[in-house]
Amino acid sequence: MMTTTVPDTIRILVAEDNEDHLYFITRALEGLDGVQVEVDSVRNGADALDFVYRRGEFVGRQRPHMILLDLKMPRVPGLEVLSQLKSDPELRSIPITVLSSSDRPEDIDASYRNGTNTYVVKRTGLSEMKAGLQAVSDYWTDVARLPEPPL
Amino acid sequence: MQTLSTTLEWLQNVTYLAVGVWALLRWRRQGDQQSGWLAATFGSLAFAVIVGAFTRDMEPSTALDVITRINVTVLLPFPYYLLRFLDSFEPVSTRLRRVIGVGSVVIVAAALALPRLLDPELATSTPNRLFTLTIVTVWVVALAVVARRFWRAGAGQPTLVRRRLRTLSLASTSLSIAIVVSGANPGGESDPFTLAMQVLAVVSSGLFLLGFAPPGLVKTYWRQPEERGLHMASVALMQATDPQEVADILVPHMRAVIAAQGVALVHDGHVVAASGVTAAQRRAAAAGSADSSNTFPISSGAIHVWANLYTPFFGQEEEVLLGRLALLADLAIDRASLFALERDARVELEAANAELESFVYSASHDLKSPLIALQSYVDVLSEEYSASLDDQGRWFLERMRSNCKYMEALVGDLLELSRVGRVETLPSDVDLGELVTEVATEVQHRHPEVEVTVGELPHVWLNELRARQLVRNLMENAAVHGRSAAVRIEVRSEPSTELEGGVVLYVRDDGVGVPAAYRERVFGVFERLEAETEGSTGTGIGLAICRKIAESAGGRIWLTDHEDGAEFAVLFPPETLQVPTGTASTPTSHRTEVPA
Repeated sequence: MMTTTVPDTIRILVAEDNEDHLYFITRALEGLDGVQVEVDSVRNGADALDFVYRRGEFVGRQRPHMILLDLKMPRVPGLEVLSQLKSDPELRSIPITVLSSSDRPEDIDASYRNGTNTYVVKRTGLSEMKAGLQAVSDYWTDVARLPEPPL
Repeated sequence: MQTLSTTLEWLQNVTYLAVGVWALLRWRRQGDQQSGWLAATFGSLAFAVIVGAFTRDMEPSTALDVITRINVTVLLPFPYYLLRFLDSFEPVSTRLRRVIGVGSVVIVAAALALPRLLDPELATSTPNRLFTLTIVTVWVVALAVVARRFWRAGAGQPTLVRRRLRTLSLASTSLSIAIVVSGANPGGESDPFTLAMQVLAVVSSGLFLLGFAPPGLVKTYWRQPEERGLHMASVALMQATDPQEVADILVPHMRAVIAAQGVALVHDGHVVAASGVTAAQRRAAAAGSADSSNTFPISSGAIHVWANLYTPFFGQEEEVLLGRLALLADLAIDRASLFALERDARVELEAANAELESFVYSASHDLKSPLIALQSYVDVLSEEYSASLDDQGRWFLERMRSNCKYMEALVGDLLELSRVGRVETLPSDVDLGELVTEVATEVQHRHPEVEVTVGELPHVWLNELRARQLVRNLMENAAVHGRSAAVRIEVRSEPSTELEGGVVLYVRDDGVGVPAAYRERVFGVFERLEAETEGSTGTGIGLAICRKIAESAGGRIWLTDHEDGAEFAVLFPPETLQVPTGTASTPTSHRTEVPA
């Protein structure tokens, strides 16, 4: 039986093509209270898939505990990444949070239908961003329990 | 028997006289070849009738003999004339024409050569028998050909023309039988043979009259199917919504009305519909040089009709029907063109609107992304680098932050504006009184000096979020633009005077009001009457959103005519005041929209 202890450090993969957004997301994640976060980042959907499948330049990398996923990304769009990961019996256990600037009902709907665990709308301002991510992190590390990432 | 025979003869004479007079008058009026042959045919018959009537009681004499010979010369070739009449529509074979022609010459010559033409004592003599036989043969052959011709010409013709031609065929047939009957029994007076012959001759004369000059009533009766078709065509034409449709409906009807060989409709220099038309005729029609028999100009072109050979003679009145149809088509095409123009414009406008909305939507989303980054950098700067800036530097940062907030509000409002009406949501029962009280509390929280009085307000069936946006924008607008801090806002409702069953919601403030010239403009996007003031979050889109909400609910919004303060009025149509049809439950929240 798998242990369900809270890991000391949680690895989060951030898939985000906007450099500025990536910077502030990383900053916010690293400044989160009560949890040690190790951030890996990719800049497009294809790399996000490669990372999780540990192929190409990401061979040998450890799989993340959870994924923050942008929707609008080059090469492979976020929704496609989402549906591929969520239809893979091995990888679907990794919790995915869609982090998008869109609050379109259509986008939210499509994300949940493709299996996202959470949908968070990006907020303007650093403190707002931080607050949002803190809430997500608190939920996954405090309220809920994360699964062990698949080996 | 004698009386009957006399009556029949009299009837026959009168009828042939009538046909003869009709044919001669027609010839005088028209003067064409067809009328000429017809006048020859029935003029000769009428001449024989008149001469016969005058000479009936004359004693045999040289004078009578001369008159009789002249009469016979005129009368005998009559089937040949009739054949030539038909020949002028569609040529009869030369041989046949020649045979009948020669036959006619022979019988005329024989009539002139015979020593004593009508001597009863000689009636049974061999030359006379031979003479009679020749006449009967020539006449019967000619009339048979004519009868067949008339019959076949009727095929495919409109009802009236067909009935006329077939009547003439029957007339020729019965005349030919009458001749056979009389030929078989020359000289007899009142035996059954003569009676049969007389009956047939009367019938034949009547049929000729009916075929050539049918009375109006008969024509109307015979034309019924075409009139019905015309009526149906006119109904269909008036329902057509584009010129092509008009043409497609019209052309077959047009062709049917006169059994035209071909019809082509030219609209804006193009043949938009054609039937039975050759490629060359089509080209000529498009170029405006069609050799059609009938051309009806219409405002956008012309309708060309190639009538069949019998139409000019037998279908003159059908050509009038055709003219009526063409007139109708002209109207229908005009109407359809306008309709099509209007529809195209509407479709274009709708497409442009949809495109604009989708553009606004994606543009505002794309604007959000750099805004998020910008604002985050400003935050970092003011949080972490504030100490290394002087007062002016910090003030600049503050202005940047305030502008970011303003832009965020702008983008958010633009998104909202593009969503109203685009994202369809179910209406729910909204208690306006409750909603206004709630919003008033919010407004007073931001503007503590504002006073709000709420009158009796109805329930409306509206998307809850939209109702809240509407009320909030109007009240916030009143609080902000009232100018003095202690604005008094009054919200009330009254039955609509312009729309029965509707209700008008009034939101009034006691501020500076809106000059009459700006009362329409305030509802435009980005319309602001004054410069943005410190701390103001007005984007100039709020009232545009209100208008869109009101209009997508089927109502409208306007500024009433008031000098002291501004008074906004929102009309709620009757359908928003009751449970909408088709809504089973009364859901109060929806997942399709996320509050701004």
